[in-house]
Amino acid sequence: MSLIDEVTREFSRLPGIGPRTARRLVHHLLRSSPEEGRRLARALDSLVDRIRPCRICGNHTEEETCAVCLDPKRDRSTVCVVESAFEVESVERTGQFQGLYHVLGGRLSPLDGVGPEDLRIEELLRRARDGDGEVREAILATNPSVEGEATAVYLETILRAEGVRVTRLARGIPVGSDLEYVDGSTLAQALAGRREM
Amino acid sequence: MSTVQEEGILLRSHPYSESSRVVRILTPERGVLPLMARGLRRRVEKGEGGVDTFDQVRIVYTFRSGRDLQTLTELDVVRSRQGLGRDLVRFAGASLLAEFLLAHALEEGSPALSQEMEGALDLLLDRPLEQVPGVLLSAGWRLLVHLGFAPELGRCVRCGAELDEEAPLLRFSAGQGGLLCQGCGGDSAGSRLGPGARNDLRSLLAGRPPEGLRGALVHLALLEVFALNHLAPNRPFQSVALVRAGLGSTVAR
Ligand SMILES: [Zn+2]
Ligand SMILES: [Zn+2]
Repeated sequence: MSLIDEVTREFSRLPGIGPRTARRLVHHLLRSSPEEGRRLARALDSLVDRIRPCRICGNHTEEETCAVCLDPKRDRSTVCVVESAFEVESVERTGQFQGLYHVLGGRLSPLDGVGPEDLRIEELLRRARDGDGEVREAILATNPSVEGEATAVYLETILRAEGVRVTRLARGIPVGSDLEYVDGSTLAQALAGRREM
Repeated sequence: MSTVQEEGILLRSHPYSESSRVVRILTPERGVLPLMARGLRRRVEKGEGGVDTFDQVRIVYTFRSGRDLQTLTELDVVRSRQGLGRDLVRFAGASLLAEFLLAHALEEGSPALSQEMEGALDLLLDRPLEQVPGVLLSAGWRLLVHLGFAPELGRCVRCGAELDEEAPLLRFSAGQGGLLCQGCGGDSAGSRLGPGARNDLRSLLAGRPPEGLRGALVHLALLEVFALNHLAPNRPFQSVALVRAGLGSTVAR
């Protein structure tokens, strides 16, 4: 395979990029100054080398602990539980949430071989237990898919046993659409209108 | 090559590339059918009636024999079963039934089996919580019967002797396919079942879950071991632990 084909194929693996767009991107880079291509390569290199999960919440960070967890102004009594770090960004963009996050790293899906032990559930329980009662409310913001709902139900049972108040995002989110595709104002409404589970 | 329209149940859907997914749909005509779905993901993103696991769907696909993946061209949700996610036993139970079907990799269709699965999912969705364990166990056994693995409860699976319904405890051997008489059961592995448990098992197999079924966890273990022995999946059934967790919290409530 030629180098051009190889890079084209790598681009076309990316979300939203078909083979045609991939080819266009490659030819754009070849027409541009060499520095443009190198800058992209360097940025990608650092991205995969330096971004890692926050040791507390699992959010993306370049340090050991993410900026949200380090921010002294955040409300430590409320934790928003999401499936992936992408959704942390979606909720952050609404600017309506002042609490902390917990990234599960997926959702319960036995048919895909994903059980509770494959998600960051132990870590969540530890936060609920070890924080001296600091975590008072968990907002379950898993996706409204059948697996996301089941994950919320599972978490509800074990969090409630720890004395944590458990709420779920309001149903402003259209059924079957992942959190990552929901626009900011819908998400802000869903947060404001969260209900007890 | 032919264009086929069918109704089925979405059992699995996983990304193949960013713009396509492979879905496995239980259909009455062709069993568990693997299909390549291009653009299905985009459909879901647009939110025009997203499709979810266990949904009843109407599909149109092009079928070419000898091909591993058929091509899905249309998909509509006929009936959503998203509510299964609102309770752990219902969800994990539906997943376990799907695991049975996926483990068997059924290549030929069976309208009766499709109907059984459809009915089972609807009952799991609708029945009051206390009936759900019985519904699940019964559906699990019924699917195994449809797949050709009915346990023998009337005669000893080793010597063929007719079994006394009143006999106190009889060994159930999953590997040998059913109950053993007292003479044959001595050195065998497997749970021992009293007359009550054997009766319950008969009712479950007949699709009539007994009211106030006792020992749901024991029955779950029987079903699991029997299915492991006869379906021989690549890995243990992932849903069982979740069903157990759900039953545990239901009992505790
Ligand atoms: Zn963090
Ligand atoms: Zn015998």
